[in-house]
Amino acid sequence: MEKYTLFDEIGGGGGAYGKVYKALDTVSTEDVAVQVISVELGVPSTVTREISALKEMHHPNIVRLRDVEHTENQMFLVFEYLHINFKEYMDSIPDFANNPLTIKGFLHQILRGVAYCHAHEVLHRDLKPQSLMIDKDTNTLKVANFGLVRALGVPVNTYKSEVDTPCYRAPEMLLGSPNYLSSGDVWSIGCIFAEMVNQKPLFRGESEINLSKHIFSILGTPDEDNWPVATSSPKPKFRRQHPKDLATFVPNLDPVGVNLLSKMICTDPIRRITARDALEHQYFKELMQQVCFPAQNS
Amino acid sequence: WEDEELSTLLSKQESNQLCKKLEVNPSLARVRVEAVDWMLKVNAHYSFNGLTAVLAVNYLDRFLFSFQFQSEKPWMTQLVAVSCLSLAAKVEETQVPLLLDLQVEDSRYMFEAKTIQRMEILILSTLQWKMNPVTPLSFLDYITRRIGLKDYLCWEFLKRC
Repeated sequence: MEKYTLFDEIGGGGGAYGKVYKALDTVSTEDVAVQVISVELGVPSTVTREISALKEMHHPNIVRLRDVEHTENQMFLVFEYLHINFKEYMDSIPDFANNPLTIKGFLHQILRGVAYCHAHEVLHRDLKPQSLMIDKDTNTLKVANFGLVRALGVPVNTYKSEVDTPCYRAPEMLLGSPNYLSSGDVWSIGCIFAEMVNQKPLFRGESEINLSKHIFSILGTPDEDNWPVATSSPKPKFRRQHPKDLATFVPNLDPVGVNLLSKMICTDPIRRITARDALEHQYFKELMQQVCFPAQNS
Repeated sequence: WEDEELSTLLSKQESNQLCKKLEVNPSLARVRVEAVDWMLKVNAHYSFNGLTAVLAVNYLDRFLFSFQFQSEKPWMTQLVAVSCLSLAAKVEETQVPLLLDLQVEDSRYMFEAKTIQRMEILILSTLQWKMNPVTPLSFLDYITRRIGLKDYLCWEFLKRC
């Protein structure tokens, strides 16, 4: 680790799951972000898989893993340094939502990064505005901390206490599905999409049950045949509710956008749109080949 | 995009650079044969996938090529072999035996878990964490999908490779 000089601890996207420090690469003199992971009990299989996947992932919308270093008991993942996360970015620009093209541009970037990862069979598992990073110089959005959440084997109770709200978790996960699939990531992107439009999270709830209730109060309670989790254990009871008109919950979104959103936050994970298919949706047709961005402070 | 997948496979495949080294170094070749032999036995013992065996041998060859190896220390080869197999199982298998349990089939030396874990890290960093190489099985998998073998048939076929 002589090559890097560690500075302050930074929140970054994954601060809760292994300390992340801002650091200086003394050879290239570039800023980097260093995540420190304990390997006293060996390198877990998930870390092995995810790092080898990240090593091969080269995409403009995925944060770059530059280097992996280790000592006897610790591993250091060296990432490119990015200025701020997407939550901070949205908060810093109050009229962010005024230009639909800005929203389209960022949503398209998230989907491109995530579709690339899904094609490489890597799942993120904790997409939220805080885990997306922004390069302010180019307005490029990069998905960060891919797959490392579960890889680090964070116990569920730690997870709950350190993440203020499970706002972006898919209903099948809230209802206890044991398997995380790529569709779970798409749900989270749908939530982020709605948050860009509304400037606040679409679904809220202090607990997983409250959040599920809120989701079903808008999208309708799934019936027996469409229950998002295959389970033999007793299902929690939810009041029967019919789906409401999603457009009324995202008043500033045009009908094509509402159509895409409804496909991304489909309660049935099997019928939910894939990231790859979402990229082809009509909503993005104006983006043409080059993603357009307004000047930052316009 | 299917052609795109094939060209990605072709561009990512790498030749086994150890071959030349083995030709001029018969003692290394002997050591390797023993290690591969043992790894295949354990692979069969635990009914691991074919790909696990292929990966374990791939890691072993790449490590032997990149690392200044002391073949006069036979325990070293055994340590590398058990670590490569453990890493391959971690990458490919859903159930991985404990490190002590992995050392079956007349293992000449027994290593503590801690020792194997350290060797694993050395191998991971020597191989630059590239643990998903293109293997012959990658092409078989591609071909079976391309000619449209149904999922189950395809799986059965690959399992028997």
